[in-house]
Amino acid sequence: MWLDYLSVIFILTNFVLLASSRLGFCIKAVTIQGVVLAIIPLVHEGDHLGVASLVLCAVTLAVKGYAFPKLLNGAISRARIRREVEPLVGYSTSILLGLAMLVFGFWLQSRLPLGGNDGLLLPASFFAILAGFFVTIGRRKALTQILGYLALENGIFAFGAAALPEHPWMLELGVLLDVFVAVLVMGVAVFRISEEFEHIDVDRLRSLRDPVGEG
Amino acid sequence: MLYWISVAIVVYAASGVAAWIFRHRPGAAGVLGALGCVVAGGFGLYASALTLLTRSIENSRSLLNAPHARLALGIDSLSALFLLPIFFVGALIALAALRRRPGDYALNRPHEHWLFFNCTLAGAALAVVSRNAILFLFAWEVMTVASFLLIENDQREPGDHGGGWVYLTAGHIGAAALFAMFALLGGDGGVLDFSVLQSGARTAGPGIISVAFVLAFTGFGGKVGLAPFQTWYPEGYPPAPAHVGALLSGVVGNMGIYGLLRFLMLAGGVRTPPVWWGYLLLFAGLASALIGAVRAMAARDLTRLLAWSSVENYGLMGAGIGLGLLGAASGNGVVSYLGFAGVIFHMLNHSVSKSLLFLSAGAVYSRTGTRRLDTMGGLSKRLPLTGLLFLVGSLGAASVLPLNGFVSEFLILMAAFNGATMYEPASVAAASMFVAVIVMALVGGLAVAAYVKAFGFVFLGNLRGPGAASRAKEQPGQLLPHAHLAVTAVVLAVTSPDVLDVVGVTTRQLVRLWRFVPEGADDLDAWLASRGAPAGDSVFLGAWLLIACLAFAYILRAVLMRRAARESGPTWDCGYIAPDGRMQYTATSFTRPIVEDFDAFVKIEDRRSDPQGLFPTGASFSSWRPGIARAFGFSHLFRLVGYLAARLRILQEGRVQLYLLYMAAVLVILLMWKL
Repeated sequence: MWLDYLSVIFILTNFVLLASSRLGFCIKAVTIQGVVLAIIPLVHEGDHLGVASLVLCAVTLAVKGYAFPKLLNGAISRARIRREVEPLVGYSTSILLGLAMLVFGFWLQSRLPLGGNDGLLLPASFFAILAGFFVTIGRRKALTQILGYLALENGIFAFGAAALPEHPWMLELGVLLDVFVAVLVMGVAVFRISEEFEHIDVDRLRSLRDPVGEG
Repeated sequence: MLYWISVAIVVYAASGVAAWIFRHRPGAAGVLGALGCVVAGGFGLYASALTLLTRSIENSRSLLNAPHARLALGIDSLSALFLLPIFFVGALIALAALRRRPGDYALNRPHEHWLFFNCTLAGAALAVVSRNAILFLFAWEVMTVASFLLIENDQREPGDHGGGWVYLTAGHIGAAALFAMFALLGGDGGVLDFSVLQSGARTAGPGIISVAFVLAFTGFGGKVGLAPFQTWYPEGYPPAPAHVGALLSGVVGNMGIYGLLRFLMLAGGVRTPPVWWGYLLLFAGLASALIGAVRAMAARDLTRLLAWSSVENYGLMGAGIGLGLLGAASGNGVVSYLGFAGVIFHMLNHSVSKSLLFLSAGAVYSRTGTRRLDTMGGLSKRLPLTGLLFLVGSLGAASVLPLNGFVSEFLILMAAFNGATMYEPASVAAASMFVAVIVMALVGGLAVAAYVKAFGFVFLGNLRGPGAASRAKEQPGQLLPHAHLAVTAVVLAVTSPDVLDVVGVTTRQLVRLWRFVPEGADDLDAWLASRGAPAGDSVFLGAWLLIACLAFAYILRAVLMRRAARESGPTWDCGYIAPDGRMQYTATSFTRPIVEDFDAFVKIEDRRSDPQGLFPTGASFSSWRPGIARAFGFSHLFRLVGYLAARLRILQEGRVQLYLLYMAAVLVILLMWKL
């Protein structure tokens, strides 16, 4: 029951990510996602709570609830951008596509050979993966793409929690470490790009590709 | 045995790296590199000769394991036979490359040269002893890339550029085929050891084995320029210095033949080979032998002539393997035996003769500074010893009687001849064998013409061209490696029955692969003899007889000449007062009548303006031979590939988002497809 409520929050934050142009709000959405993820193992375990889950919960909270928002907010204030202007795919289209992804998630749940998973968490995790991917594809700003990447990873994390409740926590900790390093590197990269090019529009990096000509 | 081979490979690699380390002292780098080749050659020769004499087979336990790959080495008599030229010829080429005269091929960077040279040898040796597909492919790549770098390392003439790239491209197309071949034989994963592949090939369907054979034909046959891959082969040679040509032709090329034979050992097994394998190899080999001989005769560049002659010789070897397979497919042990024995023996002979020829051509180049045959002549007056060595090499490579090449080519010819007479008359097999006999006879004649041209127009006649002016004497000491090769060629010819005994061990392995030798016939030799196979010695009796006749004629002439009065004067000059070196036949004009008969392979284009009127002021004639083989087929193919590749550039749009979309699309499609 509680798991389903948390899943609904998870789904809604994904829609926020798809629909909002304000970067600050998007960061908040991803932060909420992170907090929800941190709570999910506690709910899963219920009465017999292990030390491992408590540690994982604490680390997730620290990294996703505190470190990432701080890093990303710092990045947008340094690069002086607040909004995603002119996305490659419009916001209303994004929401409609988001609905399609959610449906795809439910379809996947019905097809996947994972017995006893009729909750909302599995579709929600697929939705997060797809939505995260979609945001990295459909937006211009490097920062939005980082947010998309984070949502994608949250989806993987949630999938792990939904599909393998027998908690391979070491694996999840490894994923967490990966993401932490990646976000750190990307945060620095965004700052450097904005210093060098006076913008962080990824699609304007096109000039770096091979010159077009007869090969 | 295997221990010493491994030591030799390590010495190759280590001395190459040592030469690189001493890059600031070119002299030391050269000595280190060549010394490494000689030391490794000594170890390797010892081990491979011992393997051959004791007829032992040795396989190592793996020292290093990786997915699908093991550092598994092994040596048997087939490996040992192919190791011989690597170690022996390799060391002599290294010595010849070290003792360069001033003005000879100046190596731009000796340290790089020796690194690549020794890596090529190490790769070749490792490929021959490796018993794991991944290790084999690794060694194969090392050999290909190192020899490419060796070619490109020493650019001299601006027009030479590009040949090395053709070599590299062809090498990698071949390597791709080999990857596919091993993957196919390996089946569903696991360690790709040769022993595993062998047992896999026994259980695999005939279709798969045949596809693997076509891939092996592409990969290994492409290495030696079997038709239809002959066009690339001579391209790698003109840019390379002569001793690199010797390495490519005398060592690297053999790997293609080794690969084909090793493939047969792997995939042969229980089943009799399909007849078309034999026909494919036979006719591809005959085609490239014919094309190679014609193009060699038409070549105007000494290096190119030698390279085309290699195509011819490798073509003959391919045809020999084809004959061996045809014999095996039809249960004719004699044809099979003669074919395989001829191939392996011819490989040894060709290595020695061709590397001798390339090295001698290098000595000529260092004197003349050109490779153009039309501008050379009369050089034996200046370089008598080089001329003699070149003659020995020519006789060997053209398979002329007293020397080594004759014996092995004769064996291949005997295989075809036996087949032609032993199969049912008017059957396809007999007809093919007859065609093979005729083509091989034709090829033999053309090869002789090519070498008459090469030797005659470089060394005989009156002095002319760039080498004529200098009166400096040749230095015999620097021809010592060449002389060793020449002596080896003679020894191979004189002791050919013994060599055939050694070759016979491997040949018997190949012949026994298909088990058509009847049960109980343990003594294969006796069985073969009873089926009409010539015993070793009788084949060579004729050769000795001919040598005796020649010697007798020479002595008779000397005796007769002693009585006759002799005087010397100018050659008859048709009454012209001032004959000049330029008035002789040129190499091109000499071969023109023959080349005109083969306009399917060689186009001749003339441009002439005849003298006009009673007092002509000017006239000119020029003639050239564009290679139609290169223009035909392959350039269209590569243009098509280039066009398609250019169309693919749309995919490289430049937006990161689009690339992510590609990935997302592929992942989603895979996910949906698999569910």
